[in-house]
Formats: sequence, C-alpha cells, structure tokens
Amino acid sequence: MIIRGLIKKGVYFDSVSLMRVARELNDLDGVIDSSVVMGTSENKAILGAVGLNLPHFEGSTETDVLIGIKARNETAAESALQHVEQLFNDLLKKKDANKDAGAYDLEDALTRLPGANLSLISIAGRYAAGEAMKALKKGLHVMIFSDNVGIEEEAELKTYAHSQRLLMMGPDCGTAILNGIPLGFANAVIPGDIGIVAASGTGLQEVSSVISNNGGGISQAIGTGGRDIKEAIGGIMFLDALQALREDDNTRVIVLISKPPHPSVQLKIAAAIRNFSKPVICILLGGDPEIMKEAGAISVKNLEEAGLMAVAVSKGGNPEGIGSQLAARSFEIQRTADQLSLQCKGKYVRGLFSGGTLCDEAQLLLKHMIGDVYSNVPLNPEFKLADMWKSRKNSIIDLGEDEFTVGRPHPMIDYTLRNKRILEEASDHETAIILLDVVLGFGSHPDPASELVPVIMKARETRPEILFIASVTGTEKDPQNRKVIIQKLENARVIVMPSNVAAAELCGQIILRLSQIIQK
Amino acid sequence: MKRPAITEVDPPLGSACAGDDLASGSFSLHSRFSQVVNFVNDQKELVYLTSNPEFMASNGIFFPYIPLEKISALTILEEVISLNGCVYQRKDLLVIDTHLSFPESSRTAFENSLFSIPEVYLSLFPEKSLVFLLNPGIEVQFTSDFDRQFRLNACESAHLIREGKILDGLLRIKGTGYGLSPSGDDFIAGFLLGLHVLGGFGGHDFLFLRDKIFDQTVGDNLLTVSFLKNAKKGSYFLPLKKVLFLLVHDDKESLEIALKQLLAIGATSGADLLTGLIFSVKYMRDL
Repeated sequence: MIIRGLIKKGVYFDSVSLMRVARELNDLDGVIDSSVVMGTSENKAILGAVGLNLPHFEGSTETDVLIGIKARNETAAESALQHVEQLFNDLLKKKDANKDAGAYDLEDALTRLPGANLSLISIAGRYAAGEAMKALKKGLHVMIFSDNVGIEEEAELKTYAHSQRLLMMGPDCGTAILNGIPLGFANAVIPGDIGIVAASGTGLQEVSSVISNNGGGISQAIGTGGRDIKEAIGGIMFLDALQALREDDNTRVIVLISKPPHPSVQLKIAAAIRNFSKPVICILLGGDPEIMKEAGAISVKNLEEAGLMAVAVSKGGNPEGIGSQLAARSFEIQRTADQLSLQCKGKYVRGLFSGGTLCDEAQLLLKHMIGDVYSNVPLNPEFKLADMWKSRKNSIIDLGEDEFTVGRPHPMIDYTLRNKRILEEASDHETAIILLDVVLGFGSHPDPASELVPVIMKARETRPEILFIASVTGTEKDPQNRKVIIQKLENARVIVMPSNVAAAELCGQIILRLSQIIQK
Repeated sequence: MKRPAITEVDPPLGSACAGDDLASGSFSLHSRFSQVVNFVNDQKELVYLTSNPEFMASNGIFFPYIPLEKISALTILEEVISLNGCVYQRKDLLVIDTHLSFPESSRTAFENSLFSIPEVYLSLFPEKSLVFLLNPGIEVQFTSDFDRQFRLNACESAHLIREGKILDGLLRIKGTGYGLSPSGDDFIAGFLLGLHVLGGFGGHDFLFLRDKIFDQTVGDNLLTVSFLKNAKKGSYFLPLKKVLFLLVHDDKESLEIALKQLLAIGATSGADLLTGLIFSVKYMRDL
C-alpha cells in the first residue's frame, strides 16, 4: 500500500468542487482511500489518525487544500496524483476563462482599444459629468446613459462638445444607433437612408422599429437626452445632430422626435430646417405642429405615423396615403372595441408602461378620447396620482420614472415591479383593461414573455374577463425576436396591437363603450 | 445617512442591495467563485460581491446582472461603493436587515417545528452533512477512513457539549470536515446563532460565552473568520433568516422551499449551519 499526497496552496475552490474531486478520486482504480480537505490543524489530526497525513503536509496552512491518497501500488498512486492535478487544472481553467476583467478607467480603455471615437458612460450621475468631460477632452463623442446629472453640467458639456464638433448625447440618453452600431436600449434595425434625431429614448425605439418593420432603414439615430430641448440647454445637441444628418450623404430623410420643446428652442429648430434640402418629418408629442409645418416639415400626430411617413417619403411613395391607411385601421379598431366591450367587466384602463414617451403618447391619445387620465407623470397636473403605488379611475403609469427605479434596474430589464403591479391592478374589480408596452432590443429583458405570461395567467385565475392589450416595440432581428414575443403573448390571449398608439386607441374605444353601457 | 430598509425576508431579486454591516476602505481581491467574489481590506475584513441575492449576509453586496467575473477592484466609503472605478451611491442601494426578532409568545411552536426538521425534512439534507448529530438513527453514507474518523470526532464533540463541556466540544469539532469552510466551523457558526436565538426569546443571552467561543475557535481562514464574526453578533445569513422567520411565524407551507434553498448552499455548509443552530437551541436552552 502506498500513501501519497499533494498540497494546492492558496487557491480557493468552492466546497462543491472539492467534494466532486474527492468523489472522483475515490472512484479511481487502485485507490483504496482518499481525502480532499482544507489544511486546518484539526483536519491534519484526522488525516494522521487514518494514516493519510504526510510529512510535507505539516507546512500547510488552513487556506491550502490537502489531498491524501492511499493506493494499492505506486502506479495507481502516480496515476491518481496525475488525475487530481488534471481535475484542479480544469477547475482553474474554468476560473481563468471568466477572468478577463474589463477596462479599469478611460485611460485603460483607450489603451486597450486605440482608435475608439466614442465613450458610453453609465455610472452614478454625480460622477458622470466629470468622466464625460475627460472623454470629450480626449476627442471622443460621448453618450451619457446615466441620469441625475445637473443641468448646468449638461450645458457646460454640450457647449464644449459643440465647440469641438463632437456629439454629446445625454445625460439620460437611453438609445442611439451610430453607423449601424446600437447603443443602450437600441433595436436591431435595417440600415437605410432615414436619419433620426430624438430627445426621447423610447420614442426613438418606436419610430426606428416602425421604419424597419415597414421596409425602411436607418442611417443614424442620435439621441440627445430629454432636457436638450429645454430653455437651459437651448437644443444645442438637437441642432448639432440635425446639422450632422444634413451633412451625412447616407441620410436622405430626417425624423425629429421630442416632447414639446421650449418655444425658443422650437423656433431655433424651425429656423434650422427652413430651406432644408432633405425632407424633415416632425413629431412633437403634445406640441404645436404649425410652427414646424410652416418651416417646411411634415408634422405628424404620433410615433407610428412618423415612422410610416418616413418610409413613404424614403421610398418615394404617397405620404398622403398614410393618413387614409391609419383612418381605415381606426375603423377596424372601433369594430374590435364593439366586440370586446361586450365581454368586459370593470370600467377603467390601467396602463403600466416601461417607456416614458410611450406612456406620454398613450396619455395624449386617451385624453382626446376619454379625457385626462391619472398618472405619476400626468399631462395635466391636476391628475397627478396622490399615491403612485395606487391607481385611480383611468390611470397610466410610467414605471421607468426615477421614483420607481431607485435601487433597481429599469423596468425594460427587470419586470418584478410591473408584474407585482399587474396583479394588484387585476385584483381591482374596477379594472377592465391592463395596457402594456413591451420594449425589446439590446439591453432589454431577454424574454419579456417569460415574465409577463405567467403573471397574466395568474391574474386571470381570479379575473378571467380582464383584457390585456399590448404593443411590442422592436423588430424580428432583435435578440428577443418581436414575432416570437408577439406569438407568445397572443398564445396567452393578450391582444397585441401593431403600435403603441394603436393599443392606446383600442383601449380608449373600449372605455368609451363601457362608460356608455354603464350610463345606460 | 438615511437608507431605505427592507423588512421582508425574501431577497430583493431585482434591486441592488448591501448588507447592514459593510466594512469600508480599499479592498483587494481575496478569492473568486462563480456567484461570489470576496475582497479583503488592510484590516483583514471581508466583503463579498454576489450575483445571487440568496447569498446575502451583513457583509455582502448584491448587484443584479453584475458581470462578476470582471470585477477586480472594490472601494467602500461612507456614501459610495466603487466597482472597477464605477461609482454607486450607497443611498441607492437597499439595505438588507440581517437581524431577526423572536417574540416570546411563539417560542414553543418555534422550538417544536425547529426540532422536527431533522426528521421531517431529513431527505433534504445533503449526504456527509452533520445532521447525524441530531438524528442518531440516520444511516450515514460515510465510506472513507477520513469520513469515519470525522464522524467519530463529531460525535465525541457533541457528547462533550451535551455534558456541558461546551468549549471543549466546539474545539473538538472546529476546523474538521469537508469544504472550503470546514463542516465543523459551519456547525460552530450555527451554534453561536442558536445562542442568539435563545437570547432573542428572552432567555440567557450568552454574551460572554459567544465571545469566548469566537475567540477560541476563530482561525486564519478569512472566510471562516467572517461568518463566525457575523454569527457571534447575531447577524443571519439571509437564507437562514428566512427559515427562522417562517418558523417564528409558523408558516409551514413556505418552510420546505426555504429549507431547500438553505440546505443547497455549498456542499454541506447550509446544512451544517442549521444543524449547529438546532443543536445549540436544543441542548443549551435549559442551561
């Protein structure tokens, strides 16, 4: 009988791995007994009692792994030692495969990727501006994904970037597509000749997806961050991005997306597009379209229309045809609402949104159909929910607002909060419809249907009559595949509409009918 | 600095969170596992990052979706935590409360349920755990010479404790057994927490004994030092807190799931921790 052993010094393996090595050793031919334990003095005493303590174990410490082997002969012992070395090497390789740490800081990143020309910054807001300025001073374009950056800092960054002819996208810029590279929550869209400037992340996603899904393509999509169009910033980057698209040979059609800009900024944008050689389509959600129309832009009413219009213009089609197409669909929506309202119980719609602009768009449309709705971000301040955790009458909630996202990932990534809220809304017998936006793309949840469907099924256990209406922003090329997600949702009897605005319109039509039924 | 606290025992799946007793300073890498990376500062205090909220304890930090394999530098200051140079404000992180209160009115039901665990849920305990110390009828799958000697040693240790020779018994089991944190050390951590449970129910708080056990049994393995330190001060590893919480609230329906989670930790660590706690409550309550 031969006793052999070895020490693995200062390398930590988890307990399960150690037990697995021990089990494999014991199963080897010619091995009578073995042990794989940490080198505590107490374990050494036990090893001594069973004849497995070796003289060279004495120098080991309790952070070393001791391997003792009792074998029938020298060959079996040698073979077991080689095998155990191999097992530990495999464990170490597995660890090393995961050890390629990312860059430590901007300098390190530039050393690792010389020639990089853009820095994407996603760190705590109070530190983002400093890092952004460092990047700008190194001649990099910058996209700040982080929020909570001061508006004075934003103005300083953008003024500097403008002076250097650099893009300074953000803060709070969730989406961009530059030279076909998606950044942040962007979607996998077809390349083409339509350029987008957006002070709205999900607005950009919805429009670029509509374009891609309807045969158009994107040249560049530049996000500016929502505050760029405020008076304090003066639209610096919105105007620079517009100018960049004007000079870009691959861009033939331009789409501008934002919430209503400050009047002074809107005048600047209008002045910039006057006498533009390229067609400009403009969607200012809730803003006055006339100023832009007078400046020569094609003003549209919603995000879907902006996308469809851009495709029509890009393809040399008939832009007027888009209006008739959408009017015909509205008629279909009314017929669907006639049928669905008969099965409905409850009175109200509860919208649970992950996209801020999609939430605004739904509120705007519903306001025209059924009047103001309650929200944590209402269009009319009088309809601000007193308690954002509790809906009231018709309510449309933006779950991506800071108040919901402190300490947790964005609801496009993490569905926990929305799922909880779905069940709460469904348990309210006044809820007739739950309206959802599902936003796909890089960075979003890898399979939103796997999150939503079980919750929807659970909600139906107590409220089988409740309607779920949704839209899915994204494309078939997205990692999640829009078609697959729609199919999964439809299998769970979710009514999936072609766009956010169509989903909101269907809700509005049903609520109108329900209120009439109740009045009768 | 005011931070939000969570009161539920379920881990916050989607929210970044930190334990309620993080050491501070500049930390260097200590050891790396698939779901946990340990860091140590120059005071030899351990803090770990985890991608699994089930692994939270008072010195843990959980970030959802964190690329754990890429994190190599950690700094903790009063207001911020920096990972590889990316700075997070601590006020944005939920704070995990690792403490638990034990209403005296629930003591009898708690103890009855606790003592029944090694029989009712025996199949959930991993082979080679120390549960045989609580249920001598168990057929143990100990096959090697080391196994048998380890079992003998553990039984002698238990015997000494039952005879009132507590420190001798714990010193006998200390550092013995399998796993990165040897089974005996997990048992001692559970034993310390058991003393805290008894104190929580209004009994003897065993403060002096807890300090003494810690001082005598703590070694050089920083992982062991860290969890023994948590155990000494009555700070519960989240999966164990959940089990105890369900016992206190007599929620048998959820208990099995919580036990499965606890007993699946490490090779035998979760099981040995619970065994030590049950042993301590059972044999120390009448002292």
